[in-house]
Amino acid sequence: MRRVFGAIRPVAVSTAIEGLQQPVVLLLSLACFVLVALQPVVQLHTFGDSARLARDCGMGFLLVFGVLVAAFTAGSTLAAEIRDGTAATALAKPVSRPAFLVGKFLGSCAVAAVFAWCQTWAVLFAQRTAEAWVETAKTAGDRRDALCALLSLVVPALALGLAALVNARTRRRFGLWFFAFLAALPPLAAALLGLFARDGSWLGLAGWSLGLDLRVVPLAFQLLLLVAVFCAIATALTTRLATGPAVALSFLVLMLGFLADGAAAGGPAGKLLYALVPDAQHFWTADALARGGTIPAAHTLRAALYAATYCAAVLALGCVSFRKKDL
Amino acid sequence: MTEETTGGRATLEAEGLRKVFRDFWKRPRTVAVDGVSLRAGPGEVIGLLGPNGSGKSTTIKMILGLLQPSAGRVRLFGLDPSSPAARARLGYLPELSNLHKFLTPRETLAYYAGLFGMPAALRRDRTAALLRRVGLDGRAADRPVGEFSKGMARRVGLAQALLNDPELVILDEPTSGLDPVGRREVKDLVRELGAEGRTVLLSSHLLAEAEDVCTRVAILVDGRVRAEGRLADLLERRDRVRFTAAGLPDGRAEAFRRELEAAGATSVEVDRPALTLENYFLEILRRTRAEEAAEEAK
Ligand SMILES: Nc1ncnc2c1ncn2[C@@H]1O[C@H](COP(=O)(O)OP(=O)(O)OP(=O)(O)O)[C@@H](O)[C@H]1O
Ligand SMILES: [Mg+2]
Repeated sequence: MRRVFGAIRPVAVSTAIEGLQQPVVLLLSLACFVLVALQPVVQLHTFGDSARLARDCGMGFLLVFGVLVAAFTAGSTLAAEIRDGTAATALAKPVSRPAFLVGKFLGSCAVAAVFAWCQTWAVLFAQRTAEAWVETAKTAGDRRDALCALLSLVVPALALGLAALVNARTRRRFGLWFFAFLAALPPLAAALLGLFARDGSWLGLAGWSLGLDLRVVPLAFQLLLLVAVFCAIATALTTRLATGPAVALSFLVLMLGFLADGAAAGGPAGKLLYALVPDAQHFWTADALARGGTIPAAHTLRAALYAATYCAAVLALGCVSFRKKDL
Repeated sequence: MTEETTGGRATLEAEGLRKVFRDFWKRPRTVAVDGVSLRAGPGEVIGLLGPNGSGKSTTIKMILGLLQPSAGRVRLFGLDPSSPAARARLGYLPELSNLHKFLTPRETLAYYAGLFGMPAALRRDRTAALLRRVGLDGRAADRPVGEFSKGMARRVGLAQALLNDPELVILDEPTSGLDPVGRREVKDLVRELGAEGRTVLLSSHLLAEAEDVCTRVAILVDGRVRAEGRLADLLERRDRVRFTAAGLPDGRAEAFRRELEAAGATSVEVDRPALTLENYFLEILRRTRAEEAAEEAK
């Protein structure tokens, strides 16, 4: 048993390391972080709903870029290993094919998770940056949190700089260290930000408050689940298809997933479609946060179970397809 | 290796292997291998020889369970080739080294050791010993394999194949891309592996090389075995005798020839044996190194 499943971890770890080192994954993450952080600064005509706009926009970016990141990891890693023969080398070791496939899937999920962690902070910062009604003794009006905007740009810049420094000094991998810093710096920035009020005035340690709207965290987690489903579909398809067709097909399935809800109400064809594609509506609950609502933990749990079941089913099919594949 | 672990059986048994590559519509496209049978036991070094496209790599991949045979049967250590227990006891060097370009040799070996489930301490020892053995223990051990020359990547591939101290070593063109020193080292290594009682199956185009290390060869042409057997049996010319001598005064050789012909021998040849180019090359290299060392010592 240990021999059969013990290989999942090394395969997943090397897949994750390879994914995080890909320049395109770095660029996507950097672009997403900056876009999410900057969009409240450039918003006009928000009709007083700026934070919500920042949140919805940020979640949209998170999903789109997350799927792109997954396409470049889950959609390419197994296909490339089969093409380059590295899969043959690995599978001549005591590694079962299902373990290899699951390792690949988990590795790409890990990359997606690192991405989602960083981008969730970007959304949190964006919400705080967004215009809000601020009243002080002297003034009252809609104001953006300039300090927060500044910090959320400093974070990626600093991550780049520090990773470059580490790479120059110790020859360690730039990509990996960039993600290490991009993941570690936002909590520090948030702690620093807590020392200031939204209008930039000093609160000090005694008055420290987080000042971030954490209700988006379960939302981001659900989107990560959806990206994981995408990873499972792409991984399973690459057992037989090259990266391009596999990613295109996975994308199609995901898009159908957004329509599935409506289709289920239709005839038997609609019901069949609903049964086959993942119901993406489970994972997109941004509207629930409007007017101060929260997402019930039970819903998040249900979404997680649904995602896990769907991934397991898709991967099981992938294993069947991979079992006799010539390498 | 005890009699018990092999059960007195061959390490490797392949019977009637056949592989038909098919196109998308399952129509047969190529018959790559057709009815190949092989057997090998401990201590044997089997050479799989043949021209390009004769089915050597395909045979090897079927033996490893990486390709599904269209017909035929493979047993490794009496087990199915895809069983983890069989794979834990074999080492495989693919035709093109097939390594992760983003990993360094050290990380590559650590990755594969992880696949074997090796404990950390053993992993470190084996990695260090193997990197030394393939001559990559210097700076190169910490550079990504993607930057390596073909021969350097080959060395990493070799180290990877020996990671688990395998009883069965399968090498697909082990010396391709290696320099003469590397070739010699690989030849010595293969001989050593055989002498240690392991089974080695290797494919090669280089006949001289196979001749030096193999105990048995199978010659594959168009997917079929056309000749097979112990090298000594295949190559021995039973109708010929050869003498080699040192210190014979000039002119005496001619006298011996006349004597042999008088005794009834036909087609007598007298010549001076030449060094092989390989030995000559290695000799030059050895001399240069020695001179450099002497110069440095001064
Ligand atoms: N994946 C494949 N699909 C279709 N045909 C293949 C495939 N792999 C190999 N072949 C065919 O099978 C035959 C044998 O190929 P193989 O690679 O086994 O030869 P080889 O003896 O290893 O040659 P070389 O000495 O060049 O390495 C060739 O005709 C080749 O075209
Ligand atoms: Mg070949």
